[in-house]
Amino acid sequence: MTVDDNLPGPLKDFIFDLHDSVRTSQIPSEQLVLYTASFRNLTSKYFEKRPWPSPEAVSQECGGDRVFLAIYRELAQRHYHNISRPSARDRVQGWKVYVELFELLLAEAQGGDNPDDDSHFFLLPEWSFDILHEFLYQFQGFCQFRTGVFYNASKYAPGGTSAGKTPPAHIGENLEILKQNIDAWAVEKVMEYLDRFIKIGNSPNAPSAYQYLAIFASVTLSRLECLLGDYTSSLSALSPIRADFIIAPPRGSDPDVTEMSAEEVVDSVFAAKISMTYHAGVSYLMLRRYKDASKVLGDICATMGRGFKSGSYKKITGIEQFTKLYDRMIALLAIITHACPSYGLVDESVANTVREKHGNQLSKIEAGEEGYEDLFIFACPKFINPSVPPYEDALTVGSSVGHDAAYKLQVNHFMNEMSNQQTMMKLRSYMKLYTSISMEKLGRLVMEEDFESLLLSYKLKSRQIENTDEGEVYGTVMDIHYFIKDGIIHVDEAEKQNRFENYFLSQISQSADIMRDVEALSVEV
Amino acid sequence: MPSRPSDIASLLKGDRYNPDNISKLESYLVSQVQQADASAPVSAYDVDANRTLIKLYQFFPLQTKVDYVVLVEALALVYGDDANEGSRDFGALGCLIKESVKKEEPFPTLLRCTDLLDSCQFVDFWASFHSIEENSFVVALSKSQHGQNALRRSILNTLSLTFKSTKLSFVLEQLDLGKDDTMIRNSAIVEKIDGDSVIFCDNIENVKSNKVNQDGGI
Repeated sequence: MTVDDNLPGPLKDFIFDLHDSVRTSQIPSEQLVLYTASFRNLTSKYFEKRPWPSPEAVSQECGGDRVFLAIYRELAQRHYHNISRPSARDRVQGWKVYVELFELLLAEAQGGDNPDDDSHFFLLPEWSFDILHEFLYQFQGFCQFRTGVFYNASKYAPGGTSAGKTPPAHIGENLEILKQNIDAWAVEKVMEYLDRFIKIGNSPNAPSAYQYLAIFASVTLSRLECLLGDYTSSLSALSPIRADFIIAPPRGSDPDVTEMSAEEVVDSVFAAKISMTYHAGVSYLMLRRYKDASKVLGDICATMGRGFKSGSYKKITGIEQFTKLYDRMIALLAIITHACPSYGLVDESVANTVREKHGNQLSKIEAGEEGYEDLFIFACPKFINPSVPPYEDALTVGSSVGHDAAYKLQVNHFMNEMSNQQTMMKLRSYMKLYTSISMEKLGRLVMEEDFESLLLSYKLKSRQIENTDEGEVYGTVMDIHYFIKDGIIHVDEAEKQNRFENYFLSQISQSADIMRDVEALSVEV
Repeated sequence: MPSRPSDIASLLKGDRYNPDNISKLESYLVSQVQQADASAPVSAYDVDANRTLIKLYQFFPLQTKVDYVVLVEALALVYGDDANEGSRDFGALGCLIKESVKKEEPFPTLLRCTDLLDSCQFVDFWASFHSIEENSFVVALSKSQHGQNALRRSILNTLSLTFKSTKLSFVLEQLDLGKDDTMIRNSAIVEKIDGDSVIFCDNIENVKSNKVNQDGGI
């Protein structure tokens, strides 16, 4: 980072005001303006393609406050990673920035619970989330980077595709940097920091700043567990985000601001909500909880669909990231709604979007021409391998696995789960034709080997855990119900309700769209 | 059955992913298959502790002991409440285990066992499960009364989800019981054995429903 002794006036004021809002006044509305609009304006005016000044350069404007400078350093580094392609050294440096910041913040937490104590700080929920979100993003990037370096180096080992050739200099340099910093971004340390924030923020009398950090550390931990392939832990990481975990308004808030629950805090930071929901949806899907997956994904996609349509999302910065996640969630819903054809699983508007974006592909899947693999590969997260590669073996022994082994493992699991889908859909379509039929006769129609097992298996796989008001219970994703008594299969089908209101609602909505387009036309006579 | 030992409980609550925890969790894993007596192992099945061990192997692959990985998966299969839970937990744990570990026997046979449980081909499942020779822990588990009965309860549960009634000979075959129907007779989910028919108790799955919802569910 550059040392700039001649700081522009507005920048000095910004640092001073930001420091004041973090340490002294702690007024959320002021900090929001500084953290979002002011930071953005100064960046586009002075630092569009270069780093913000180093903490040393701005130290005078904030009285050399170590904690604030560590917070500022993270903010500046986040911008730097955004505008540059980080090298191995940059990535290792990134780790050191977070270690310094987290150790300082966690040490502050030991300093008593007196709200007037100046050793405390205030960071907006958005800011708290952004720190932890970027922390995990850089960890994810580092895992992919070091796996990539190891894999590329191993091509030059005996038996590799470039065996016998001299590897390019940067491969050796990167291996050396990684070897010298073997502790950087160690997964157990990453988890330990998140765990410490969660424990401190959930302890009695924790200040609101730590409560926010705890909430978003839970969201971040859930995302990390999902990227590691531990879907059970991903879902249980969200358990602290409860309606009864109440956060009092920060002391600098306006008088009309009321307390919020942890759920409401997450809802108030849209980037957090969408990230949390996406990873929860993936976890539910991989754990065979299709109804829970479709509920959480469907709800947020319905909200976002309305937002896109009304144009209210156009003003949000970072909307491209949201759009990418939205597209992935729609693809996940395409898989789920096709695998579990039940009416009403998702909102009609979401079902329409699924048909618009993936109708073609779903028809091919229906016809048996292809499977769900392409949809899943598009929709799934970038899974990671968290372990440190054996760097010393890279050029000598090589690697027997590809750089995308972590991701292939998850795709294989998913495809295995879906392997019997076609056969079960065939069974369902035959059963819908009857209210009762002998096993023998249905077996002759379906013509599958081990037909009896198929009947048992379809029932079994459709019986899945779902979240209800009474907690987690077993439900079913089938829209039919069948059982066997004395060799006869008895089938109940879902009552078909005539849903006139949906037809009227969709026509009214289309009519409103047309009127809006008409009014937007300017006609000169 | 004894509850989780206090040292394991504090390990899981504390610095969970410290590599020093590996040997403790391995001993605890083995105690879940060592027999205290014919009816019970030394420790109750503990999927959370076992998953932590698998995660530690994921983080520190040089410390992986494949025999223990196989045992964790075998326990998940055996102690599921029904065939669905068994294969679902097996699959969830499998997402944390590298493909290279899964290539050596008995893993491929265990994978086949899971597929057979999942697709309710129980007769083939028993044959496959009993054919495992390569891992002494899994062999011990497959021969133990406790392990076999846990699997039988799980399969009987699965049958009761679809059948209100079916042939006794069919049930005996699915449970690998030969001619001994004592376990079936004594099961809480079996109403009675009437001649050559097993009648299961009513449950929400095996009787006529009052209403089936449009969005799935009863």
